[in-house]
Amino acid sequence: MDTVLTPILLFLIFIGTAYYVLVPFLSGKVVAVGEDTTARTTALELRKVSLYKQIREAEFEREMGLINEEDFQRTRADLLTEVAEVVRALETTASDSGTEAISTSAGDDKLVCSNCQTSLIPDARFCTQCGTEVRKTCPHCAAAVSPGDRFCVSCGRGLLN
Amino acid sequence: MALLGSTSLQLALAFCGLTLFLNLAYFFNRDLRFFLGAQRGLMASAALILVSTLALLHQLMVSNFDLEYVVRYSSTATPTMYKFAGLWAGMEGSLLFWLAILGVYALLVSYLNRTRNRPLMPVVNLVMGIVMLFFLVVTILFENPFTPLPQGAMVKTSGMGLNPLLQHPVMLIHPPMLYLGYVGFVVPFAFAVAALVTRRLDATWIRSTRRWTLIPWLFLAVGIILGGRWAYVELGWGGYWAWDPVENASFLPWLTGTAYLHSVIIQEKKNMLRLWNVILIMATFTLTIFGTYLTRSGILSSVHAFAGTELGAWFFGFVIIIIASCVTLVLLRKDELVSKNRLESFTSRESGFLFNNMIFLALALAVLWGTMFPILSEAVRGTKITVGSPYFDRITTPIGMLLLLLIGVGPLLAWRRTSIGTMRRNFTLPAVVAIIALAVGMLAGIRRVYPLLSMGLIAFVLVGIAVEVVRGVQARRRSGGESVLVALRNMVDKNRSRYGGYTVHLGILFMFVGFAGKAFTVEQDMTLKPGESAYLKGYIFTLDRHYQVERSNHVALVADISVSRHDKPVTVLKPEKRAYTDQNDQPNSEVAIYSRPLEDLYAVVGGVNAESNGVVLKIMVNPLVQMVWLGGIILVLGTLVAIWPSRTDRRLKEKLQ
Repeated sequence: MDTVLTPILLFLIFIGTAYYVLVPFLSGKVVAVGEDTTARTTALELRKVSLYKQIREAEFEREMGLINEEDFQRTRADLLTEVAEVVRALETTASDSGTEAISTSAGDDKLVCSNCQTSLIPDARFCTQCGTEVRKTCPHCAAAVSPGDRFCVSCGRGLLN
Repeated sequence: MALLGSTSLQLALAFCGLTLFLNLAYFFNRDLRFFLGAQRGLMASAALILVSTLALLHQLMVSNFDLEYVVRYSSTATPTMYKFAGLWAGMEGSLLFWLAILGVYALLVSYLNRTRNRPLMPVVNLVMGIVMLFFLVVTILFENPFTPLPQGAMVKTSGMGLNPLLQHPVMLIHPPMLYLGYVGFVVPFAFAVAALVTRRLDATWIRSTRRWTLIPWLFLAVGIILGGRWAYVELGWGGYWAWDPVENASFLPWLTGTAYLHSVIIQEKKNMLRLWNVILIMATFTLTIFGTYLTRSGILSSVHAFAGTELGAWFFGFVIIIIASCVTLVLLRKDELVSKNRLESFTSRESGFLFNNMIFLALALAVLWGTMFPILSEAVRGTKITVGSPYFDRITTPIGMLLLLLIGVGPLLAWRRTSIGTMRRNFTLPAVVAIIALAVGMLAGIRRVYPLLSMGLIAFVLVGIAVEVVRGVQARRRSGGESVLVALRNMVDKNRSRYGGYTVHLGILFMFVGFAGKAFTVEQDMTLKPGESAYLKGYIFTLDRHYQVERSNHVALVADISVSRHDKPVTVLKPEKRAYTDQNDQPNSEVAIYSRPLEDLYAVVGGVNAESNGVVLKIMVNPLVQMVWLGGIILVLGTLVAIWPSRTDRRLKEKLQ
């Protein structure tokens, strides 16, 4: 019995596997479009999230007493500069590709510092001139969020209200 | 069923070849159909390998002695669970098992990345396909587990059975864990190669492979610790680590993998060390294949090594090809790998991580040198000189102390910069407690440098971690008014890698406590007649009786040893000396261990003197061994904390999808 069934089973396995592997060729030629832009945008988005996380971590380390106020301010300023660079790169990527990047928002969304009236980039969390925290933070957990986000990247709660 | 197994393996080879062809074609025509076909081909090969592995397991379970492999590694008397272990007991089966695990990883990586990392995946598939092809070729050509028993072969019709040393519950877990670790490093390696080939050298591949690195790292750690546990309870020499070449072979990729896990954090945060990280993961993967080569070639003598075969040359060739390809690729991309960022300050956590990397590398090089010394000495002087435990202990102990110091210093430093004043404040309490611990050690009469130093450093690290956690909880409570438990939970969830890492450090700390305890082991060989007693480190060991027991596949000499302390009974140890009837009466010792929180009582029976009726015994009191296993458990828990996705990560993933 085994000597008959096994070859049949093997033949079926071979046919099934070959069909599974070659089935993409039943359609016409497929070429990926915009792959580079998507990958670049994802990389920049991840970098932005990482920088925001680092700002939060630095804030936490200050609260813990692991770093003093002066070190914290310098670290935060460095990180904010990097965030600005990343956001600029995201905007360039979005305009180059003619499409909107994953979560960069809304180009017309102007942000002005409530303290010194300096115009800021849309994603800014702190004023580049006076250091005042501007409004782009989650109302629930105070994490930095991007304009246009519907949920907080940190705590996951809704931002619309 | 054997036909199904062997043909599935051949089909897997054919589809793997097709995968590589389609993959290469995709690089030229950029037609996604070729990429999809290649991806499916790899998954199909993986599935066929799994079919083949199940077929071999079935053959072992039903004891089909028509297959040479089943005859050699199983017998009708072998208990069912050890028939299962027969899968990795021999060269052929273990190669198939290697392939099966690679298949599982390939299936998971292909499936989980079906919509992610698109630009990287063709190269990832290609690298995994090449590794799979190599193992398929050597398995099918040289070590096919489905080879029928030669006609007229003179073997026992009931099978030769599994080596008694391998008939231990730990052996059901230790090899699979090690293999899961070894093989798993192919995933981050493949992503690193893909990042280099496609010039996508940002931190995306690092983030995509964070868990793919932590998981094999954890498996390797568990495999190594279980190996130690097996050696301790089965081999009867009272230790758990002997610097055996194959032990070292598993330790080496773990060391470089640990260095990598630390240095990738710097790339994630600062986009630095890109070249270094690529080199580290390449070294880690190469070391896993090199370890497989050491085990398979028979070039070094070890309790683990398989007999020398022609496979050694193949593995050596594969290692050389991997190294040459990696070096070429890195040289081609070296300009793009240079980072523009620099460390802001010497007193920062980043620089602590850099030192840690240097130390891990130094440790890896020292272990590699000691492991390779017999081969090098034979090549240079014509005689094989083996360096034993004294060399390794002498070299690795001071490096281990440095590592311990850094484990303590790291958490006390902040990212980017920490001013001297803040550092002084952060270091004061741990340093004071460390000095107190040193003083207590000296007052307790400890005079040896390393145990004393260990005490101080362990106290330093422990207080450092505790201070960090307490301050974190206090900070959260101040800002959010959370209860202690909620604050702790949220703090960990906000930064799982940080607090998972600290928990792993705590586990390592417990292990160091265990290692330090080894310096205080007491051992005595003795011959006792029934009724006689011996005194050792406060315990009285009395031989009550000795007798024989016949079991399914062995006959055991059992010695009942009553242990008492301060006239109170503690336990009865029952070490055995077994003769395995299905293995030509091969002898094997079954150690008796009674574990107390702070020390183990360890007894081995050597035999019985027929004339005097005296039983030859080895009795040991091993302090703090339990700390090693406890440390292992904490290490596992800590790694799971780090692997588990936080709420933030889950939201981010949803957003990016």
